Amino acid sequence: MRPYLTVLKDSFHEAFASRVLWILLAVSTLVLMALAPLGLEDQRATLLRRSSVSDWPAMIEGFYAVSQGQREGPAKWIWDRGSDRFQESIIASMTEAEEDPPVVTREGVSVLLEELNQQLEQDDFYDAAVWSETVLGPDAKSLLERGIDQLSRDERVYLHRLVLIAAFPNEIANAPREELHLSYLGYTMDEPLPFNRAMAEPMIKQLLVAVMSFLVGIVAVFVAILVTAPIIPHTFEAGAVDLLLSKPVIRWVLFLVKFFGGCAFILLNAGYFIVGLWLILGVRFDLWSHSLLWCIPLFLFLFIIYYSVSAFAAVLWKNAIVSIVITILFWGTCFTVGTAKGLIEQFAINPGRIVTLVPRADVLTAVNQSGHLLEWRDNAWETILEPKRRDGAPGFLGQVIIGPVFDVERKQLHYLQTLSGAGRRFRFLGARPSLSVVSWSAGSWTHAPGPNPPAGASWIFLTPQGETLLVAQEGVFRFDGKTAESRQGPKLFGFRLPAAEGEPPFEPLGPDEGLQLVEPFAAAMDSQTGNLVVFSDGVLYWLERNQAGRFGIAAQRAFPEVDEPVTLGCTSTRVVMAQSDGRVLVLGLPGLQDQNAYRPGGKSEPYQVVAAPDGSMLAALFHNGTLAVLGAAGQPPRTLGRDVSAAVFDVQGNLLVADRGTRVTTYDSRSLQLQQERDPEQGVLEMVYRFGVLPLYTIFPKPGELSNIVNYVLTDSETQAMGPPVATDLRQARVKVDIQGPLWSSLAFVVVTLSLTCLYIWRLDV
Amino acid sequence: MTDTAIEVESLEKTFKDGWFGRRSIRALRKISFEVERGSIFGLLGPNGAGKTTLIKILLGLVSKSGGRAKLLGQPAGDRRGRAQVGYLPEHHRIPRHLKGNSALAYYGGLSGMNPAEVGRRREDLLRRVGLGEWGRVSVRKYSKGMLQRLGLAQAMLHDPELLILDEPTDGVDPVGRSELRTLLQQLKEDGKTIFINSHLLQEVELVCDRVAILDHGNLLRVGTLSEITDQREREIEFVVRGAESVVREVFSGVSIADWQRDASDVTQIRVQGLDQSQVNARIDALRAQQVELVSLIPARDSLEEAFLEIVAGSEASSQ
Repeated sequence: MRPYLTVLKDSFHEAFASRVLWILLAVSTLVLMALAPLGLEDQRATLLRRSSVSDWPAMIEGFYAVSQGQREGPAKWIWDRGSDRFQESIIASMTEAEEDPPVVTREGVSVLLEELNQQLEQDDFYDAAVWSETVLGPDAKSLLERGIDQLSRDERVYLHRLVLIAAFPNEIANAPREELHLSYLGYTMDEPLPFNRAMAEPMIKQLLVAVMSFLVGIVAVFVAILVTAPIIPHTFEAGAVDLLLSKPVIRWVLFLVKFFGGCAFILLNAGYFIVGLWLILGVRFDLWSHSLLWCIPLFLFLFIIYYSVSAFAAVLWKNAIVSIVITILFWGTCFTVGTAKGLIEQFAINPGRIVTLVPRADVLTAVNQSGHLLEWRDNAWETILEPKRRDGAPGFLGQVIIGPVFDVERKQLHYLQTLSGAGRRFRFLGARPSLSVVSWSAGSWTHAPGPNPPAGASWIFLTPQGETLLVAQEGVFRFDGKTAESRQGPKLFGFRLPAAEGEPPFEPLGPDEGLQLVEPFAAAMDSQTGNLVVFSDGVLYWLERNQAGRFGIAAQRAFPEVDEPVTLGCTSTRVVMAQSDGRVLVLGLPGLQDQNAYRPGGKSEPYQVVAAPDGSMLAALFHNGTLAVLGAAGQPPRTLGRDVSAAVFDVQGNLLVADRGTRVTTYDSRSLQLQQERDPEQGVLEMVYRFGVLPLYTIFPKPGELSNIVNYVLTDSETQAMGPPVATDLRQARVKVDIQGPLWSSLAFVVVTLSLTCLYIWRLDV
Repeated sequence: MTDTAIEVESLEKTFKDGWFGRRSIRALRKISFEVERGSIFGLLGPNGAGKTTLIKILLGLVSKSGGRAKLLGQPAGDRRGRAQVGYLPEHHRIPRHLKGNSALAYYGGLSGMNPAEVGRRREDLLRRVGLGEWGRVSVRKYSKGMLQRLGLAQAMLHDPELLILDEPTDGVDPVGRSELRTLLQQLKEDGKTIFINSHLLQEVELVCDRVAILDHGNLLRVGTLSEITDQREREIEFVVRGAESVVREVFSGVSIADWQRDASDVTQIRVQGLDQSQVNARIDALRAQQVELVSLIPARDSLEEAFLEIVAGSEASSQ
């Protein structure tokens, strides 16, 4: 053993003797020193930010209503004091829009924001008479009790902000009392960060993944390859190898020890930098993320993959330059295969992946990831409706189609289209969801915008009676199915006449207890009774519908430990709550008592929970493609498939499962026996992907994908959201990240490469 | 424990070369010899003779194609045998990040020595090879001769039974060579076996007890120095003073290698093929004819002459 320990010790000796090591350590020290003064500082919010307003269209509409003399109170107070530029901007937003909602431009938002902030700084902004009917929060009341004259300037602006938020509770729903600012060397940045302290940890970890993947995963590994490339050729040089092998050592063990000794260089570099980052995170941000230290062996493994190739070439050709060239070629090949797979998936496979199935009588409708409405006709998926791009949205990426539900009576499909990332935590540009009505007439489907849905409308259901219900911030609403245009007055000589006053499009159905739901909330409907289950702000509500069609809270249960979004499903006897960490709770009704807990999808986020019409079966689908079928109470879940992207029960109780992108298989829900398969013919690109790129990718090592494992280690998430970096809507498309695959294939590659090298060395005449 | 340190019997090595090994080169052809323990053995041969291949087979660095080889009673290449061998390869390369002391610690560790043991022997060993003051200096600053001395020190570090030295005096100055000879003699007195592969025949001649001559993979001669040099036909040099005609008459019928006569009536004759009685008869005949016998020298070849003649003879016979 001593000879091998000597070689290992000498490898560290050699690494420490390398000037490059000290240069890299010096660079790491500089980077760490530059990062060390970074910090986060909570400050009391005194101004409104772009992100404070969660519903800009509603805000604009509110001020426009004031301009038309339709609204009084604080909005009118602000309008009357507002500048001409502000008023013109509001009017322009409304008149430019040919249809609801109003046009929201970045410039328009800036004007409105500037105006509001200017008014907040005015001493006479608060007027007790104007705010007499506004319900103020305890902070505002406390400041008012002290007396406005007694308040400092900052306190007064803070009070103005509080009363403004109180006046627009739905529109300004994302204005925290404290804002998080970045500080550096004692200097605090003016602009707050677009996330709160709770979100700081995942954001910082995401940033860490990027920084480490670049600095350690690319720069340090590349330098290490250059530095360590001569080690094996030098070892096998004439005069060196014969001296070594004349000692009482086993030559292939000596090679392996020399190989792993060569990893000392990257171990020292990665270890120093990552431990430094870990200390900075802990000391400066109070984020003692021990999982960060796992990145040291991970990056070491990444280097080992490349170094095994370098060593193999070095033993074969005994030339450092050749081994570097071979290693770079290997890297290029892995990169090409990985990139080809990624690009084909991103642009050809994933957009067509079915994410929602809607069985209606003998027709199957589906929605794919790019928002196309499809129908199964003549053994192929036919697009019946193109996606509609939302105003102000950067593209379809990250948007979510909620629904559709099929209104049999009107032959209409109703669906909501929302931006992803909506919620109280994070938002790029506030925008409410839109409601769309797709009607069947004259042999084709036509799209028409629906009326503006209630604020925060996030869920759409079809009741057993055939009604379309929306669950929004202020409760449950029934949609009458009329399009926005049908509500407008008739056109005469190109001018639209005022519409007659009629029934509002959304009838509030309670709950009568006055439930205020906080986004992101989850909801599900029992398809037998039409009762609802809703989870909001850590509380699960069971809403029963009475004879009059209104909802009331029949039961509720707090889950204080659940602070992440959930997905719900329910029958008349059970509620399934799938949590973001992959845990599935089965609760009994009516008391919402615990029945079972499972984790059938590992740690993956849930995507949807669907229930059979008769309530006998439930199925939970996870973003990692696992579908878990829950049978009778107490039975363990059965998992189905590994690439499932959508599931639904049809009226007969059969389970329809979409997998492999566009294939839909019908199973008998009890026996899970295959009944029917809808498998469209594959295109050329898909064939190339499935029979060329994918097999090649499977057998190839995947050093480039180890960053996914770094991401998993740091964030504990097996999937990555498509769209904004921090999404809270579990229905948003996510990319399944293969955690174990790259690890095992890379490990197998390293074992095979090292074994071949050992075999060669064993038979080598030196 | 056997009395032989190295046993080689019908040893063969054929190197394969080219695509699929279609070209073969026979480096050793049924070599057989033995090296006794406690002796100094020299292996001689021109470039490409197979000397280094033979050493590498003994150490297990190269696999043999046939025959048998043993090192200190163990099959060639066996780790137990190698543990008792100190090897100094030709053009050896000591890692440049090491210093004299750390190099010895490294090679000592590779030989299974613990650091304390290395520490105990290191100073004395460096002094013995003439590097007493250089232990803390990086090997980058060593001259070729100093590297050779350090290589020798590492070979001796673990007090091996057998030292295999491939061109040990390569790059070493004359003083160093003399010191090396003394060192080898001391090691021999300590009972160590030394196997030297060298081009410098004079060096070998001065220290080796037995010698083997290898050429083109064939073992041409093996034996003591006198056995090697005495293989040639014996020559005797007569120096006489007297009438040339008388001298010629006495040496008539004898194979004359050289005949020289100077102005002072002295004749120098080198003759071949005479046994002792024939020599005595010639001396008696010269005295009877009043020819003065100035000197009588039995001529002995140098190793170099013997080597050149043996190798030349081998080449001639192979042609």
